Amino acid sequence: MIGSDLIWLVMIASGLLTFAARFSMLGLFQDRELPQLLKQVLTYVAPSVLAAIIIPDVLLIDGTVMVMDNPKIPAFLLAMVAAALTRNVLVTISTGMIALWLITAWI
Amino acid sequence: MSSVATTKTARQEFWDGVRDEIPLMLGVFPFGMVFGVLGVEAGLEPLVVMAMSVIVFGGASQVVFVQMVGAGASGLVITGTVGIINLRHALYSATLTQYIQGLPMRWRFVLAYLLTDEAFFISLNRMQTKPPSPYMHFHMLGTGGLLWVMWQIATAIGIGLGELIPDALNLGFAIPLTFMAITLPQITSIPPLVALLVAGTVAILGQDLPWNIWVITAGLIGMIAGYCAEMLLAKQNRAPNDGGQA
Repeated sequence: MIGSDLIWLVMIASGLLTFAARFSMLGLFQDRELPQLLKQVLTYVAPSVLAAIIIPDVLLIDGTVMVMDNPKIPAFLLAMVAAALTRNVLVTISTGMIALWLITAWI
Repeated sequence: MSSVATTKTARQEFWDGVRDEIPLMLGVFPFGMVFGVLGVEAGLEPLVVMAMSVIVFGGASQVVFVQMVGAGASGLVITGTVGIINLRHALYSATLTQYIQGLPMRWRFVLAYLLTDEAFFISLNRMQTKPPSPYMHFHMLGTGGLLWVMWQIATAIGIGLGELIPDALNLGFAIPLTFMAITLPQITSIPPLVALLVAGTVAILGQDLPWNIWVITAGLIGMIAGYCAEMLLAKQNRAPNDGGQA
């Protein structure tokens, strides 16, 4: 376990690295245009980066891919239907959470 | 007074940002509480857990941080892992800067600090789908500002309630749901679907890679795959009969 002085150092270093990533291109490209290729590749930032977070979150349980006996999968699929039908964030999240609670209560 | 306003004022942009961000709080707030609970469970002092939400201000990386503390990881490994998980924000940084050309550095510092997944994508949607305005950065101040305040409150509540919040509620599941609600409207053609599937596959295959490097790797490969799919489709549409329509 990290000592109580070191934890502050680790936290501040982590915060600085995080800020550096967030500031990086905002700082470098204040007036200049980004290269065209980079711009085009960046149009896929949402589906790529968010899928990289979503898909392991849903498929993994304790670090292993679980397809059977994974209540998150049917709950997530129901939420996707809700999202497609309503385009409403509140409805989407509520549907997924309530579905997950009902499914886990059932089995 | 009767003339139609063509651009919104800074104040209007700010409040639009706050309003657009409100629905996301249904996902962000439980996630902040989960973080507060996990932080205390990992044996950290409440002040440290609270400070992390201010200093790092990045949900997924904060959860990994406290889990690694609990698992006895070294400070260097924790810092490196947090840095790599949050490297994806450089991609957001590059995207955002295209919409705020010429904005002074002091603003860039503020927006960089507020640049989280849930605020960035909501403001990006405004920048891409509504008429441009010289005050668009106020929209991001609104989304990021609300998110910041709520994240701190949620962390504090999580610290306070601790084990009163049952694990069985699976509140962490709110985050993939929130991100899905943001992503789904973007999947309107083949290339973004390719990007999504490739990124998801790489993320799963890369789970055992050290330092959580799979997040940024999957993101980058997904983006490149989406771009390649776009190029291939464009080529296919041009090639077969000398540019004539089929």
